[in-house]
Amino acid sequence: MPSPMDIYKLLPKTNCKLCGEQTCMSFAFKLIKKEKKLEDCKPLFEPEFEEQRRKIEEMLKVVEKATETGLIVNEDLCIGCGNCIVVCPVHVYEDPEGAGSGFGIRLEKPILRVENGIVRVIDVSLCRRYKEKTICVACRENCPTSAIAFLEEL
Amino acid sequence: MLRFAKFLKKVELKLITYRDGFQVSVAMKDKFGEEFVEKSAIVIINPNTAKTFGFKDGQIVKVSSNERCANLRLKVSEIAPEDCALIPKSIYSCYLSSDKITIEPTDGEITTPNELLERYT
Amino acid sequence: MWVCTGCSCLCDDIEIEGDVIRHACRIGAGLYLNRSVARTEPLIDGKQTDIDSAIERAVEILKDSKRVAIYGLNNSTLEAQKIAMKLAEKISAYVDNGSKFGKLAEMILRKEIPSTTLENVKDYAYVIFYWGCDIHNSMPRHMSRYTYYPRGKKRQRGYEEDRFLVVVDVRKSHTAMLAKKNAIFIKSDDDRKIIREFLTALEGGIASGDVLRVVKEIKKSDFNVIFGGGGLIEGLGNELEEFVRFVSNVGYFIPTDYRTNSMGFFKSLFEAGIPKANLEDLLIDEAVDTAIIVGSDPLDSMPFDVAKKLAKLKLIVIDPKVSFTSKIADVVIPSAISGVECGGRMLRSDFTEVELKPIFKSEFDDAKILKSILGGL
Repeated sequence: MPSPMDIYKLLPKTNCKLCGEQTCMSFAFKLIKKEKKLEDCKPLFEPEFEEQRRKIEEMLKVVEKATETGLIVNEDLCIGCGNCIVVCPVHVYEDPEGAGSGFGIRLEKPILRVENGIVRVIDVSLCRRYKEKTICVACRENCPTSAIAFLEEL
Repeated sequence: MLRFAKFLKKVELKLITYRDGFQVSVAMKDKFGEEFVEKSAIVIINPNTAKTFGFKDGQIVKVSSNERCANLRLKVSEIAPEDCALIPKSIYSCYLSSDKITIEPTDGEITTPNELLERYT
Repeated sequence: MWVCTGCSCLCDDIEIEGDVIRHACRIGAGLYLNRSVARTEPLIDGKQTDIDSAIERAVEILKDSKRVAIYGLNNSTLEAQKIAMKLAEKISAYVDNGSKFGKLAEMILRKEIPSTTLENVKDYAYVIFYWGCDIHNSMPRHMSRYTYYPRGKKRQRGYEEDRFLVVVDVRKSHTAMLAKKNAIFIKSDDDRKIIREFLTALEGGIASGDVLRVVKEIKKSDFNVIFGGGGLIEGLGNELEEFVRFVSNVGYFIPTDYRTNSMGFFKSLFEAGIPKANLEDLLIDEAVDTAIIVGSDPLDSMPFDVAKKLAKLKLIVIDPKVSFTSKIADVVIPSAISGVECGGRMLRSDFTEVELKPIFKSEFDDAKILKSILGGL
């Protein structure tokens, strides 16, 4: 997951304000939170910044993967322990005999499910962050390998 | 030729071998594949230790114990205590098995499992 | 539902639909999905042959051997282990599975140390110790499937209120990072010293703040459990008396040997009345000239000085997968992956018997191969 600093280092760092932000650093922040688009930085599209632009685009691919709730899964870091699935309050409520009791989740469309050894986002519409806008971080908190992240915490 | 690596220090650390789930999974797949080397031929040190001795995450290092040595990729992570180096359990950690290991920079390539295997026979 | 044989959790809730395997962790899913990668073929002195000739050659080697060691068997079924014990009796072979859990496993079998099942842990356990094991890496679903995270009969309120997690280790492992709310990580440089401190505190004596805090939690429940791994075994050495007293004061002990059917091995050995050997010691003493390695790769787990001695022996490797040891073996006999290609029974880490549900069939498996060898002698 790229940090705003990682992005900032590759920006023109001129604080030209063409994007509408006061500084390149704040542009970097908003880029990661998806509040700004890369195209808003006009100078970056000049030939001299081409290589840097490509690097930023590469970094932003991870951010693109973020779901509507801001949940990002880095599959390379996931060992498939299922902690996130069992601790999810929605899963426990909807599937007490399955995920709530430690078994593989029995819902047809859960929020998360381990497939081929890696956690996959199946349907975020059930997530408390989506429906009730609750800032719940139970899944992220119980992942020791940082395979789960939330956009707002970056 | 001026080789920057020569100016860096050696560091001696206590060796802890540990079981890494990702390594286990690729070892069960194919011990002669690239993924096996990627997950097994590594040595992890604490960020503070790395800073003190000028090591960078991802660089190749020569790891020595007793009269044996192998080139591994260095990783920096807090799962290693400051006075210890972590190597996942595999033929690499077995080959280097010892209480203490020395880590120093190298320009060499990572040692392959086949190269290690030759030293057993 | 498939039973995963990736580790000694033996998870029995795995669904397989075509190329998608659900609920198994990375280790178990990999075992299934990569089953056809790096398979062994019958070899004699590195040259291709057929399986019958390989078995014949193995029998010849055994007939010419003075003293044999049978090593591994952790991925074999109870049925195969039983045949291995018969083979050991017939040729007076040493038997070892490479695990250091033997003493404690035998104590559990003799009921000299209180143990329980993982189902009971889920339903009743309050304080859960992980001592000297990074369970998140060695048995990834252990905590979510059976111990800290799931809700059980008497533990309905979830991990944050109804469980207390204690992680004791020499380093801040991934498991230690999970010790957050209602949990504690105790960094240990001397396990025996900490156990003594616990014993003192449990009897009302003085101890460090961390230990006192845990003891306060222990006293809240009559069902607490200690999971002990390789680190604890190493830390204890031969001094088990205080540890047994500690367990008896706290609740129950369950070993966390990740080797799939290691507990089955100890039970098979116990029932056959064969003492457990230590191949590393035998190699140092140069007490064996031949080794039959079943589903194990000692070159990938034994220290170099010892492994180098192993490489000099006559080696018969029975394994479904190519290993470092199979590369230097005199005879390689391909076998089936237990649980995937052959059935039978295994013991989970808590000694619960589990019936495997293989997806595929195989002409040869450990049991059949060992039987043929036994028949040939």
